[in-house]
Amino acid sequence: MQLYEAMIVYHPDTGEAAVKEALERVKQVIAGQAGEVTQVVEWGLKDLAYHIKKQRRGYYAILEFKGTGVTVSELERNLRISDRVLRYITVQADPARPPLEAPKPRREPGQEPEVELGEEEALEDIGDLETPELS
Amino acid sequence: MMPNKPAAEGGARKAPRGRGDDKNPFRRRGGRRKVCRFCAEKTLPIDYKEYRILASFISERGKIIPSRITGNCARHQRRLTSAIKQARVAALLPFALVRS
Repeated sequence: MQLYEAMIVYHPDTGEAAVKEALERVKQVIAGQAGEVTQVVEWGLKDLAYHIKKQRRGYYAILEFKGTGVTVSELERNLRISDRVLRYITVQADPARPPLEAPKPRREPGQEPEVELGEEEALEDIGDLETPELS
Repeated sequence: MMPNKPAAEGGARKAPRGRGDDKNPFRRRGGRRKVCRFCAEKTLPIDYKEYRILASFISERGKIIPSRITGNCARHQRRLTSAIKQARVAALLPFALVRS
């Protein structure tokens, strides 16, 4: 049994209740595959870095669970089917770090996130590398 | 930390010493040696969920900044790259940004 972590992004129009339902179903899928859900964290609505299905926001939820490769495939298969799921990514979890609570909301959609460690000098240097490419 | 210069391979240029892949071969080796931020501070997580930290390693256009500029060590740069790519899939970081 490996420790995995799946981040799922739901369509923003899905109501909170519907998301809870969906997550319950996900948990059942995992349990049905002899998996064990250890933690669920919902980040809630968040701005997306790019449009997905014309939406700018998404409802983020993270599930941590133990399972096998089969568990993961089955989970992903189910996520693929659902219309409400915009994105998912399953990753092997490092037992070290706990899933975080949602970061503080930003003010404007599409703005660069505030970074803790400034990297302006690197951005200036980049000037060279950004020489015109045909985009 | 210093990049491989083409002069080391066959077909060497006779350009003055400088960073091999620069457009301007006349530029000296310069800039202070940067330290890998993740080596320096071991608790700094490299994780796709930590998009705020990851964001400081992408350019204005959303491209991943090379380690020769950020000073990251190879090991951390690799992990950072994977994390950024994962974050992109999760729409936490962009694949590309257009400069307006």
